[in-house]
Amino acid sequence: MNETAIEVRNLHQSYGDFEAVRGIGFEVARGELYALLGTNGAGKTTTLDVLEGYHPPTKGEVRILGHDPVAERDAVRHRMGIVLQEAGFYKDLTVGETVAAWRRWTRDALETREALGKVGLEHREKVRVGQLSGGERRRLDLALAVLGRPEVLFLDEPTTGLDPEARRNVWELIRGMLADGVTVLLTTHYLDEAEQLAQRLAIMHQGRIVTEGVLADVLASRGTRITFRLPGFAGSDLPYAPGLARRSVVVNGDAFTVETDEPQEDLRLLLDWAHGRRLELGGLEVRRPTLEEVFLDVAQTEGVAA
Amino acid sequence: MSWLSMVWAQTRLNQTVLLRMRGMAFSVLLLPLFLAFSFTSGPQAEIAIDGVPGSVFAAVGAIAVVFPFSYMTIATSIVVRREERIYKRLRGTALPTSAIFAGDVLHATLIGAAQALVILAYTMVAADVPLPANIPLLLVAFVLGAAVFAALAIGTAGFIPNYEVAQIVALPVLLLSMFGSGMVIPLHVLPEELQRPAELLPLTPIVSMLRTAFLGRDFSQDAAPQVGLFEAFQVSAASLGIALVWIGLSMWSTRKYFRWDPRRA
Repeated sequence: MNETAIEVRNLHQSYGDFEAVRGIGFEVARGELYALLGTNGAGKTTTLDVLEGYHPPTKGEVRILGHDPVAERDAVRHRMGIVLQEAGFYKDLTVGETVAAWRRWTRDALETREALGKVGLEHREKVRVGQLSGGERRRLDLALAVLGRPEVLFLDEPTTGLDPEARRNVWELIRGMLADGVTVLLTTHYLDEAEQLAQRLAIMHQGRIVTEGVLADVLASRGTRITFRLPGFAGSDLPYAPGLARRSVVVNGDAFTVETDEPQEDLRLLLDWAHGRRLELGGLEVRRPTLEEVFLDVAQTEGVAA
Repeated sequence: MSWLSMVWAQTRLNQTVLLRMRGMAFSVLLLPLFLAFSFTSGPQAEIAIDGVPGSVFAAVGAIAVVFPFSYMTIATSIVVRREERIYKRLRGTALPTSAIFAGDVLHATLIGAAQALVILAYTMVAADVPLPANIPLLLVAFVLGAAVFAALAIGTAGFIPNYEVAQIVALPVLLLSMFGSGMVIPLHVLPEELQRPAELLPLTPIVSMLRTAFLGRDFSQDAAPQVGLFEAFQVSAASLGIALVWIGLSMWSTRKYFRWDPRRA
């Protein structure tokens, strides 16, 4: 059995003159959750469109469960579940009627109540889709996506517009699918979502993957941050000898941010220095960088480079 | 999960959805019947046309009124589903696109067939129309009419930006079909320079095939002589040709202009 569920090699995708995806590649193993992060227009949805078989790639190759999703659609379509970023429903049908209609062309489909139960919509079965809240519609999206017991699930910003509780419910559903061995490709611009769910992730920017790897590695590519407030001092007053690798001191007014690969040593130096001068370091904090900081960093660097 | 069962699932879904849209359901289900009854019961009904009583002549043509309504049904539902991104969702399932099209066409054709039967029954009772002379040709004409207007709907949907425009476009299609096809008024009553173009409209060949099938006479010749079973097919060859050209043009336009997604902003 093929252990790679999703393969993308040198994928390019253009619309007219605009190249939305400019040569990306990654692999997702069976049972893994891989997150694609990026700002709007980074090329995430375009990438998903190709993987889901809506368009053949302009250049490059994609394989889902070992098959070409366009040329071998019949071999894979029924093994995929898709939550699109934006897709309509027949508003005048009820929730139950919608799932029942979808079941008619879904192989080995879940029972209607079972599918609705998975997303917590059983009590809304008789309600017209047009009357659902945004969050409930999103859950109906998910119910339809998991209806055919998919092996690969594509989720394009599945929790956008959901309240915190509904988001956590969706995360639980996704974790449940992962536990059942489903492969998930998730796009999101909520970084905590990727931190919660993803084993591996890639950050896309302007059609390219700029950072990729397991979460810990992506975060490790940036140092630990020591932040504090100290009025009346400059960065050069701090007790740090120049020439240390991977260290930066950024001062913004009285707010200091020290980025370091040796947090314990640098913190000791700083505290000794402050203690000797009877200085109070306001709001002292030591923490790992968040994905958000990595992300903004990437967007900024790339923005400048472009 | 066979292709046919998927087509049937689409057809059923289309019918449920149509019945929920009250305004659309009224136009599509009842308006054609109303129009058909009004054509066949005016004062002109007494005047003989080509030796056939006016009421009978109009009654037989009235069956064809179901086709422009099929056009409206199909074109509107394509545009609505495209713009609301229901197509995008449907295409993300195991449904082949051919089953989506076939479900639309079958849906509209079943409605048209039911309406045609009602109109047929009414005309036989109220307008004293005789039993159809040539049932095979009648069936061919009906299937061809359904095919031409389904193809036109799919072929023009790419030019229609939204639901409102779809409703507006359906109107000239309906009016041209009613008054330019010989359905209500015989073509030779039209001004000379309009007769030739009217003969080439998509519904005209269907109306003349229906009449030939029904009354067993060739209306393209003076005095409309009687024709036999096979002769009726022969005299309908030109009509068949015109209908096939419309289907061909529509298929070409579908290839070139049909879109599954709303235009990008």
